[in-house]
Amino acid sequence: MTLRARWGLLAVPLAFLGVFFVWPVVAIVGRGLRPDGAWDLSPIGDVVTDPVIRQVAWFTLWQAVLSTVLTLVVGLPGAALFARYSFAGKRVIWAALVVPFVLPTVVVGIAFLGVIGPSGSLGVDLSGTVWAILLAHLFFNYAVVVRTVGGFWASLDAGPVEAAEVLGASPRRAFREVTWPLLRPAVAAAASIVFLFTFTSFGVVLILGGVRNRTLEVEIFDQTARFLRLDVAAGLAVVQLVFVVVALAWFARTQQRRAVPLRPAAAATNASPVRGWRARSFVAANLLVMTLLLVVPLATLVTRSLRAPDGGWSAQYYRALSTNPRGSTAFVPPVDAIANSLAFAAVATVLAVVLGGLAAWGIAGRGGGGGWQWIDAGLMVPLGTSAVTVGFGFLLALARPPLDLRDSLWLVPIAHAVVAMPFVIRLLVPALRAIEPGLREAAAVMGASPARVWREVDLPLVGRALAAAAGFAFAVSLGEFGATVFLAQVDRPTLPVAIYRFLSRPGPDQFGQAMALSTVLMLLTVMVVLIIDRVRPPGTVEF
Amino acid sequence: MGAAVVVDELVVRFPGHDRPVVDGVTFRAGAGEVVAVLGPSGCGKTTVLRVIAGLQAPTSGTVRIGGDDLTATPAHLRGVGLMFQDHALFPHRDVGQNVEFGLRMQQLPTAARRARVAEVLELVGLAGWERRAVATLSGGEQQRVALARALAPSPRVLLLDEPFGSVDRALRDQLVPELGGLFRALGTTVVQVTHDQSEALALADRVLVMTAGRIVQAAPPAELWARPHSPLVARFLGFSNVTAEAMVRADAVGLTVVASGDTPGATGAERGVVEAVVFRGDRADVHVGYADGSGSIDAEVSTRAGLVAVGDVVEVTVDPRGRWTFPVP
Amino acid sequence: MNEPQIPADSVADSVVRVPNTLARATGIPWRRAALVLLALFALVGAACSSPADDAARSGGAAAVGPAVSTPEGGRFPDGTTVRLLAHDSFAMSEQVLDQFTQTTNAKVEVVLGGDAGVMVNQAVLTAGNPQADVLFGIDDNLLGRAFAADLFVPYASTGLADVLATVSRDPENRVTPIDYGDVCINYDRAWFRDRGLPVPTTFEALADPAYKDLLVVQDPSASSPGLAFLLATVARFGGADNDATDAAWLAYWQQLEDNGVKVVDSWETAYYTEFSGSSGQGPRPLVVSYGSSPVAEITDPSLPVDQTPTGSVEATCSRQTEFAGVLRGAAQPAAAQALIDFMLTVAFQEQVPEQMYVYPVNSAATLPPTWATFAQPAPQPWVVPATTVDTRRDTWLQQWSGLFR
Repeated sequence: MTLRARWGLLAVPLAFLGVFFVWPVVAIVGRGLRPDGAWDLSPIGDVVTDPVIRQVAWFTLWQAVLSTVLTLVVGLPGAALFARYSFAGKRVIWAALVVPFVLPTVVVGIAFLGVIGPSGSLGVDLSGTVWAILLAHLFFNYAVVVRTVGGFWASLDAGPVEAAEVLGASPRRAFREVTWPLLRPAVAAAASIVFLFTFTSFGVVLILGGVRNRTLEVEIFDQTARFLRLDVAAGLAVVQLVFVVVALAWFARTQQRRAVPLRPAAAATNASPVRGWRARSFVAANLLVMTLLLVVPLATLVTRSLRAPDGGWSAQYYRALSTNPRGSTAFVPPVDAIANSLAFAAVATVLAVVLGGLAAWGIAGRGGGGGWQWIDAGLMVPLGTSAVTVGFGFLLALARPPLDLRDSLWLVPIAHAVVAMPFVIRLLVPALRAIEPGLREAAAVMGASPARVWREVDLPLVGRALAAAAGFAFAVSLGEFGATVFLAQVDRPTLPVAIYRFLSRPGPDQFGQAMALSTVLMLLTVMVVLIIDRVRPPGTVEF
Repeated sequence: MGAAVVVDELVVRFPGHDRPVVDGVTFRAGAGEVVAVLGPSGCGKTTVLRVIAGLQAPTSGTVRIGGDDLTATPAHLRGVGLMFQDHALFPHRDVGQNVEFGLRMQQLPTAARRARVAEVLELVGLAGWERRAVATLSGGEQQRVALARALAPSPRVLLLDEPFGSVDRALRDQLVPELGGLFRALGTTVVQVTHDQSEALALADRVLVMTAGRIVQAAPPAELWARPHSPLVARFLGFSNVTAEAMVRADAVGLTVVASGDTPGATGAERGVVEAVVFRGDRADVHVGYADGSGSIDAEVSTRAGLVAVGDVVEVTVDPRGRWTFPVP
Repeated sequence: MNEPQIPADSVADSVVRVPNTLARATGIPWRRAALVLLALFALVGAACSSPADDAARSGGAAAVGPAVSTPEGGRFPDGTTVRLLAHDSFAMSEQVLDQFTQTTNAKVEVVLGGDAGVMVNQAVLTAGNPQADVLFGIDDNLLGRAFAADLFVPYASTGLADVLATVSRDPENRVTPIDYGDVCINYDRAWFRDRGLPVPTTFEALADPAYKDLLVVQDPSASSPGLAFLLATVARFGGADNDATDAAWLAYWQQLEDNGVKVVDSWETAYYTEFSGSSGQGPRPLVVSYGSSPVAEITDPSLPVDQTPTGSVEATCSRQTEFAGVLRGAAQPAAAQALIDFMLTVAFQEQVPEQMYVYPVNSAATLPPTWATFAQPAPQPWVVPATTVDTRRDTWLQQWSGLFR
């Protein structure tokens, strides 16, 4: 690919991020660091020398690192499970993994505290401790590791591993010598996403971490949205950005070194039925972990949605969802909430996949010189930037014609796409890099035009990664990640907003309906992700 | 010295296929013997190889290597060498590291490893290629590295899956006698799987013809060639003029061009018209359709005395020694 | 073998056409031309984002705003939409809002920000170029910041005459009181009954070892009820006049901490995960919530009850008043004023209890029956004067943080 072609592909995604990310961030940080028209960078200095902030920054860093490590340790066996074995219900579980991602943090807080909380089933009260934060991060990000690494692993050619075994390597040795080095790009990709998410974690830290555990993001939120101390907020945002850029640069270097072309094989041949006690216990152990980690907290929500105040089972809260006894403006017909959520998510997913796809293609192409991993890292920055900064930045930057989008409904999917795009890029780049160039050349020699090459060679081979990316983008949007939480918007409530509305009012019917709607959200997520997982360009192999 | 491989009543069934892929295969490769399994794609021959290597568990049947029943033994403990059809080289390692992998598993010291790697690479014609990256190799070069990697640990049994698939004719013609000599010198038992009959006939002590999961004939190459058991085997060996009962070797069919105007019946031989000619250097394959419309026959004729042309009228004579009747099953 | 040309080249072609043209016209290589264009765009963008700041800074001149003329008969032209910026707890009967439209021919469009504090800050950030015409839901503790940013245009509503005398007002009428609420300690009746413990009735009781590990409160810097509770302790124990760190109210909080008080981030977490009296069935029977919350806990409103499942401790209640104001720079100032008038009418006021769990300011509005029995407003709630809150709040929050963080 020529240099021109690569820049051409990147032009639109870069422009998108330039307008909807860089500009708002510059606007709000500028407001803080340039209060009277003159630049005053002293807040950065104040922030960096403040011992409390230093403590907060250190805490943010180590909890993110620990969370990432924990999620990898627990998630990689899960990825192995899906890559290597076929078992009943595999498809549904694969889709259901995404559910934690999608739930509003306050609901997760309720679900989680039902297990690890003061009166939780675990028996020990972890709320307010850093353990609650780590476990909640694991809960949210398990899917990222399993679906990213697992998807890539399933496409890995089984040949070299088998060759290693025949040459005398025990299965463990073969994994260490052959599989692991080939898996590293995907693991690094997953780790970078988990790190960014946990580094800028907001809701989890706020709700589960108690007063004493605060991250940079929580501080930025307080300073921006509560105290309107934009100078301090800007200083903090800059500090956070520096951390993120350094981390991304580190990841970028590991990525470049590990890019190794493979011939993605059919997942069907890689996944074998479960035979033998060793395999059975592996599968059982993983399923147990998933049950404890995911099913138990989520089951609390479902049971609570079906429990009437007198203690018996009842579907009254589900029925109540569509009633509006007080004729309130705050009432959200569930169908409307679902429709709004789906509409925003669909637009956001298309935006993220198209723009992210273009960018990934430009980054992963061969030829045209080096240094592309820096562009790659740069495109990930939105994932690691404070959402409240971006949200408030929108209010400032997109406030007058021709781009007065504050009231536009387009702003919601755009804000989601800003967060989802790095996801898509992160998942597609390793997959694109893994396509053997010979395949493309063969097609071209056989007379396929460049567009045909793309359609017949690239698309089927990255089909799985594309579907995984689309699934994540959809989940990111459905779960209202990013700046939309901090926008003031015309009333077009989505499911998370509707759930939150119930929970901000007292009363058993409010609580019950919140639980019911959360259950609806969970089921909707599973259904849609199942569909996305099935939709694949023709020619891609079955899961 | 190699070990004998005995496969007994091997059956392999895959979920979703109603017929077994391997349907009761039994054969023996004696110590030091080179056995070729010859069959069309999809006949199950690769699966048999994978069962012997330990990569595929059989539904029933046993595999014994060197007298030990290894049916349940995992692949890494069997001590066989396998050369994959698609090479399956380690993409993240260079040529030298690929070849020395098995030696590392045997915990050979570094110096010995290095020497052996150099030795094997020289054998396959890639001397000095240790530091080359796998991604830069052509198909033929990858094949040779795969072969070297399988050979390096001096396995007692060597399994080859389409070993000459990506190799060009000239290189194959050079490698075949080299490898034959090498196998005999090492005394390795070799089980080779191929769909190319000339490969099988050239390298093997015994050829097993396999179709649809079953072995239909096992014989040394010369005997197989002289006495194929069934029309199926005959066709697979590349013979033409095969009917349900018998076949006629193409080189036993003589053609005499008849000048137009000659009266028929002079020699009692049948007459036909040349429909196709494929020039092959010293010889040519000629397809002749009988004048009375009763069928056609393929002949292999020498081109020394000139070439027949399409449309020529010829008299067809068949040497009775070239006729072979299939034995009754 | 050449690299196969990817269709991106055609994309690249269209993208590079502009700088290419520029390049040909000026003789600069196309890549440099592209960079120049990019830089120009950035500069223009930066320049264009300044005017908002300028408008905000020169606020003094625009204090009064354009002259507002109400149309004849109080009916606005077709297509008039008045926008209401409210916090995310805002709710009102659709029917009642329709009444406004029927009377004035102006539609109401609701724009929801975050919670009250976040909403006000969003408004301050966009001062002069607001997203709405009326802002609703700013409470007394937030007025200082809003006034400093000159957020509102003064308007003396016609409905002010009916407002209860006890309700606090703005002497300059920059904002109009619409409703008020009490922030009080709520308790779980059943919990105390089952254990034979008397319900605590004063602040001091909360610090009593008999009630150890039973109270959950919200972080005052993050939560509006949390702040209200903190201000109540300031009002009760003093320390409002001096900077001394051993202010009595701080000492009280030290006692609370010693007595095992749990601090969480928000009302939702406190009420639904920690409080035993809600459906969340948490472990603690004492929580900072609203005076109206016990009424909501009645499981079947159609059945008569003697007692609400939870109750509120009157001695701990502090008052919060919510205001509405016309935003400076509003597109529809006349309609905004009409909406504020409407918000003080009995029809609107009588909906606020059921919709938003707050009390109406209009003396003619009657409370719903269960409210009249179980949720009367506290007769003597704690109040800290707004001016004091303005000047001292940040200090108090810092001192509180010093204790708990």
